[in-house]
Amino acid sequence: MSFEIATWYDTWNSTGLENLVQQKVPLDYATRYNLAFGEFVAVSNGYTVSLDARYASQVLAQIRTQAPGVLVYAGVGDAGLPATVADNREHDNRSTANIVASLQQQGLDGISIDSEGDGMGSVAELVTQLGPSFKAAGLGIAVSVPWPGNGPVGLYGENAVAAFNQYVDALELQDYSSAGTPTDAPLWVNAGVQASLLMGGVCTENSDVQTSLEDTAAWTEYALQNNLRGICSWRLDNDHGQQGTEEDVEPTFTGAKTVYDTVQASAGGAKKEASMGTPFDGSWNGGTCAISSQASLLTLTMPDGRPSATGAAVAVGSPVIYADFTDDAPFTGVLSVDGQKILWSNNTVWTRD
Amino acid sequence: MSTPFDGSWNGARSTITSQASVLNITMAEGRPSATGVSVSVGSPVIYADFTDDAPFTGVLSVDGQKILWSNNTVWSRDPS
Repeated sequence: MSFEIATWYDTWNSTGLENLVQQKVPLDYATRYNLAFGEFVAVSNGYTVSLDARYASQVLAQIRTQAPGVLVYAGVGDAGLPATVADNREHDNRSTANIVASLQQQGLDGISIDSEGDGMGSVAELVTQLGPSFKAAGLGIAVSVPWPGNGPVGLYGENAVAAFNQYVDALELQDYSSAGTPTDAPLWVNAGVQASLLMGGVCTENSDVQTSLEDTAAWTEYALQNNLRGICSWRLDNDHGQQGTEEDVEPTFTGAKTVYDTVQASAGGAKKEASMGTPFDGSWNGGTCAISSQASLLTLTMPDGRPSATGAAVAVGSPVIYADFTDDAPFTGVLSVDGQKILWSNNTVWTRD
Repeated sequence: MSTPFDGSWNGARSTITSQASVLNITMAEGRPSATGVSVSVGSPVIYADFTDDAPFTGVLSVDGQKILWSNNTVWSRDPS
């Protein structure tokens, strides 16, 4: 897993959308975007996630067009969260199925849960409900953590550490609401959370909790040096604007640039790739084949002198791989729900090592 | 327009029909019908929600005679 750079983008402000349309926004600074905000809403058979802010679909389309390799998650807050968990508990996890289908229909890659109120006590149970289905569908789960200095148990309850370690892909620490990444991250590691899940967090919008550019670089560097998953910023659309707190007006993106430049300059100047792994990454068939990724683009190393193949990974319910074996033909494969096999369209099956 | 998945499978125990890219999968042995979609990712790919089980994804073999599903099952097309 390489270093992940995540950020947020709003979906309610026409100025933020217009900046995208005019291609003023450097979307290559991040590898994942959380769209702010969707919510859990009631439907006829439980609850689902709705991302229906006024400009949500247009913002998503702009990001997909201008940055096709990035991941895009639906950000959600407290609204409907406890009710969704209760519905799943009472009705055999039916709302989870709705949420998976909704994210897939909208072309989203996962969910970032930013609960800061009455939903916090339900977050650990929610990720436990979502986890297996999300994994099977190739969807990601992030939790955006306010006031991380209170620790996982203090914020989310006694089951949080085990639930996060098992089901969550990323914990986005909002370090700008606590003492900073170098203080918060060790607290979470000491509580039992895997460091590889943790992302430091900086605030790049003009506010009384804005992270200085100096701290932005320092916290990013800390995350790099301590093998955290990555760094997350709130928020690219409103990054160090030139007009005070006027939302989305003339952003300079200097915060995002500081993060990006720090990552690129890490390890004594060696370029550190900022990318996500795919569910296909790893060693297959007794070490004879290997799949590695850069964003959703794959390289398949083949045995017996065969040339490497290139491909792409997408989610169609389960993860699906399309690979061009230049000495043979292009084939398509689907990942088994347990992640242990690739079933290919030429009737072969690869087994994970 | 039909999809590449349309037809009879597994000795007529399953039948797939389509309306555009939306699929209806009739199951045998009292199992409820499933709905799904067909998309193209190089080869045709099917995503179907088996309401008495779970949603699964499958890929059509290049000869069109098998669906290889993500739950490790394989469906064989019936002779026409």
